[in-house]
Amino acid sequence: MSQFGNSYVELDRLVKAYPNPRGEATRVVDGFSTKIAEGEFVSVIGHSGCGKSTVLTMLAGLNDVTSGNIILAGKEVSGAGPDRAVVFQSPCLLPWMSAFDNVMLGVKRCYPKATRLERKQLVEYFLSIVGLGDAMHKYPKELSGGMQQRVGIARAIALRPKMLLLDEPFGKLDSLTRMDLQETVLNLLNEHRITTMMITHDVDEAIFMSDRVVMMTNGPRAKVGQVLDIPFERPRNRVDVLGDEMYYDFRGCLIDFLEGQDRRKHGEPDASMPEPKPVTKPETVQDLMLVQSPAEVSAV
Amino acid sequence: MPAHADNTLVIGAEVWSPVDGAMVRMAAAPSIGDLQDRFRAGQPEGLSVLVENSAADKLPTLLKLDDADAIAWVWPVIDRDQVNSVVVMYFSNAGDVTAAVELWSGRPGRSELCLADACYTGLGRFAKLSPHISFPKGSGLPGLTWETNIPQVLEGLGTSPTFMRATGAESEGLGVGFALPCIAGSSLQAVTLLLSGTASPIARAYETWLPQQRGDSLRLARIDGAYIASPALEKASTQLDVPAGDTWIGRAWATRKPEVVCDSTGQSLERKGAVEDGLTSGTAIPIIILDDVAAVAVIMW
Repeated sequence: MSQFGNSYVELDRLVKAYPNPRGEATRVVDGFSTKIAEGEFVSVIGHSGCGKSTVLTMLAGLNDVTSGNIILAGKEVSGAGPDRAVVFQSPCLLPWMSAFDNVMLGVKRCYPKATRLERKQLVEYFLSIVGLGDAMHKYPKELSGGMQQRVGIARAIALRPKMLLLDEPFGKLDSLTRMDLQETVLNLLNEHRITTMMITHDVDEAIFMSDRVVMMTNGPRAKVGQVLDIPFERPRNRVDVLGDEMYYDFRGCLIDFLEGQDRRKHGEPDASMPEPKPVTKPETVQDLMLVQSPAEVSAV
Repeated sequence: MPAHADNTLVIGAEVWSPVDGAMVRMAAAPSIGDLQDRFRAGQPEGLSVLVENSAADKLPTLLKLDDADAIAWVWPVIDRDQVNSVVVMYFSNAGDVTAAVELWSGRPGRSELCLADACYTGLGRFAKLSPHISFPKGSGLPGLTWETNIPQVLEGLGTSPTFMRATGAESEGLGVGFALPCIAGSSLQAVTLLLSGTASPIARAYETWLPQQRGDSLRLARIDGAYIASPALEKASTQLDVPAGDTWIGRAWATRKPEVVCDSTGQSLERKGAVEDGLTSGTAIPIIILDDVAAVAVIMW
């Protein structure tokens, strides 16, 4: 149902393992795979501690991959780089620098050949489109949490990254500021079409902002459990999205998944609930390649 | 409410084989004549084109036969890169029943199985949501089938941790599922899911048979099964194995081609309990990976 075509970003069987006290490797993330098309907005949801942020930091190059591959625009990713800009829950601004200088820091690195005027115009442009045209010379301590996060977003977008990585970027904001900033980010992405992955706990946020929601199973050994396509047209309008007849079906689908994971996490299934189906696989049978059929979905 | 043979959704099954470059109907259960009469209104010419296309594309297909209130499920059996047969099964799509036949396949730019086609009867939200959902390898019934490469039988869909759409299945009355992988060489072409309630099941029994070494001989053993309102059959089926070529199931394994059997007494099913429970027909579909028959999927009604 997605309008997106071939993959731009490919996460192939990502594994992240840490040694446990017994010296064994505990796989926090175990075989996370997904493909993301250019310009697509993908959210990852799952319970706390399932490994969502681990996936994001591996993609950002901030966390070594134990095994698996990450391909971005046809090249394997290793280490951090300005082609992947990250916005964390806390904006992590340098407190002794103004909003303008915080953004300029990255711009200088990414545009070494630009003139001083060009860099200044870039910084002013990105601060103004996140709504800080009048506050760009303020210091972080003079800005609210929402305004600080706007600086963080402007700083990330100003790098003109191939991919934007958002790690619960609105998690610390009050609901009104959160909604405002969600729309700011969507407007930015409508204009700049940056491929985006967002980690969130918020199913409404995931539905409103994403083209696709990747649902992660509980860790350890977390991986993709199910994927939900969100076919709402862009640019999106919150009232239209909330009024769409499918909205509450999508919401129910995500909540059903999270509740199912929650029941397993807390061992709460009733006695009649069967064990997961054991995997019986003939030993002689190898892994099958999945044929990429161009078939369109047409439920009748 | 117990199911009976007359409320099973399977109407019949056929096997088509290539003869002189064209697909020809070779066997059917019930008889070819009965099925042709039943589906004369259901555009048999269209169906033969569908069979030809399915064989050419090596992809399963669904066709809704509106005039006949039925669905045709067309399934190619691919052996060493050649389609050796096409199975066509007809399911009733009429009346107050709850059922789904889904085809899941890969899609460019995606690493999951996505819904390629589906027919839903008596389903609301489950049918609306499923086209938007996809499953990675190992997850959900389609993903489990992809991971194991063998047919999967799943009961208790509404509470099963394996069935990711369990809430929808529970609220809409889907109880039992059977998943079959369509494989060409070493490539997964698609996965079919047959899902239904137990009051109006698609079929009365689903089984997965695997070749297993028993002493000095390789035999075909039943490793999993679901039986709906068929207690005698279930009791008689717990520990079964057959040599290659023995019974219609063993023949499907030995010949690498699907089998359909049918008679009004149920004797041709060659299974204790089948007659007592009123089952009359069956189809056995070999699942071939590279050079080996990895499994045989059995559907009885």
